[in-house]
Amino acid sequence: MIDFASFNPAAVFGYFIITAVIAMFNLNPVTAVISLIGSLSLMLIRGKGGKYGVHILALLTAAGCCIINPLFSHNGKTVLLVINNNPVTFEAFVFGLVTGITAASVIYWYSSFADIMTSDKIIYTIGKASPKAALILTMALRFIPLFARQAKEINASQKAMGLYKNETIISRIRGVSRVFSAMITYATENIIITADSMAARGYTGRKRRPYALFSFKRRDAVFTIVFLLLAGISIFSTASGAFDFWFYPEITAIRTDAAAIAGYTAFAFLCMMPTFIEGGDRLRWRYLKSTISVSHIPQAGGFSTEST
Amino acid sequence: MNTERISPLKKILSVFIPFILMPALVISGLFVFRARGMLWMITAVCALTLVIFFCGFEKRKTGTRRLVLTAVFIAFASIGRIICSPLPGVNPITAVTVLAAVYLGGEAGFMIGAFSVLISNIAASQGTWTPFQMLAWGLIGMVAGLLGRFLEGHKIRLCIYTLTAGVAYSLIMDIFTVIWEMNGFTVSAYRAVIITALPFTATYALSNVLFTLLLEKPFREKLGRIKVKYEI
Repeated sequence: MIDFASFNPAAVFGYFIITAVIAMFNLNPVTAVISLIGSLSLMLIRGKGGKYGVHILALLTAAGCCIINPLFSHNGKTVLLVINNNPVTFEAFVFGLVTGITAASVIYWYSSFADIMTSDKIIYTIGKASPKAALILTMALRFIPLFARQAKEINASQKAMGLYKNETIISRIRGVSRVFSAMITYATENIIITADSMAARGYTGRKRRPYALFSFKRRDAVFTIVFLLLAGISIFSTASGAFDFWFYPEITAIRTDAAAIAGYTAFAFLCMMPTFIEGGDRLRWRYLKSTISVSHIPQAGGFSTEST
Repeated sequence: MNTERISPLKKILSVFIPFILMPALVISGLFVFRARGMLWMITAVCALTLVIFFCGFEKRKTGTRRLVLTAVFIAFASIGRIICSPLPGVNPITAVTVLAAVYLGGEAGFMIGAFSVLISNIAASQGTWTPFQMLAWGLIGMVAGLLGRFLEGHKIRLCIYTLTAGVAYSLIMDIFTVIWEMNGFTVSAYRAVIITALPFTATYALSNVLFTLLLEKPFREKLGRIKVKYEI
């Protein structure tokens, strides 16, 4: 099955960065909604729609933008209500809403990014440009689960020795800092051995070559060319003013001439690309499965009855 | 040490990328994203500054031991932030970064600050603010590393440094909040955001001091010893 995650990490990384940048730095209700639909549908089609934390964060961010902007920005013609002699305007509210939708879509993009770009893929992508940073990042990511497990063990042994009391807050803090202190000793002493072993194996000597499991296939090239083309059209539309939309002093109409429609279409295709890649394949699988009816399955001796 | 000959192409690139390509990218972005020009500029400048910093570190030779220890403290700071995430405004990144940077130096300090934000943001949320946060915390670590001699072993100086860093970080982040939410900058909005964020700023700065007081002793004893024993 071809899913979006199986594409070359560098191409996927570039796709996410460029799409998110175009979505983030545009201030237009149409692009905001397109970006939200694209990011949300990617999440849903990958079966990750049940992550409630992400939805709550996105909702809170959007709500925050909707509330904060009209409270502090008093531009705009249409006054809705007056609080402390300060007018709350409809235009400022719409501005907040558009910013909020954009922010929510970026959170959804990031959620899919974190889901698809696992640490090995990120390290593959940045490893060539910055091997030192990639190495440090890899090691730190590996230490996190290791230290968490070790901290649990130290905690358990301290409890068994009767050193760890959690009656009052102060004794708890003392207990935690004792565990932490032991952790530092454990980590630094052990890690020096790792470092020496790395040096002994020639880490400092020659140029290092990273081990990479990923290849740049033809479909990655096609994907990269198509998304760069669509992104180019979207950026051109932004620069040429086709995506222009002004809130103050009065909300302008959304442009619906050919240039704007072309720009929106290109941006919509850009945002929906991963969903199409995942969805198209899933549809084909469904179709193939539905055509496998019982009559098509050759049964024992089935061929002989047909021939007679 | 083997000295590598630098090819002319590399020489041209090392001038071309930071002095021509990067400013061109930022300025052309201003013409493309006119509606969010300010946000674009601040984010792009931060991201490109980070790139320049990391390229600089790439050229320098760092001992393996120091490199690995840097990764250890990135992991510590990230775990700390993830554990403390239910408490708004409380996180040990500043304390861990500063204390480790005092012993390991400015480069390690920058890496610890920047990368622990990057990693722990996976649990919180990544966004336009990530490059900004990475740069801010990286610089806190770097300055602490440069002040290493002055800060090492002085509890009070360390506390003052983390307190100041906490307040300064919050004030700088508030500038970003205003630009992000209002797409512009006005003093009245900035004042309003500072007042709204005051409880967070206060908890953050005070928790920095608390973490510094708690962690100073183990860091001094253990890192001081490691430094002498293994000549880092």
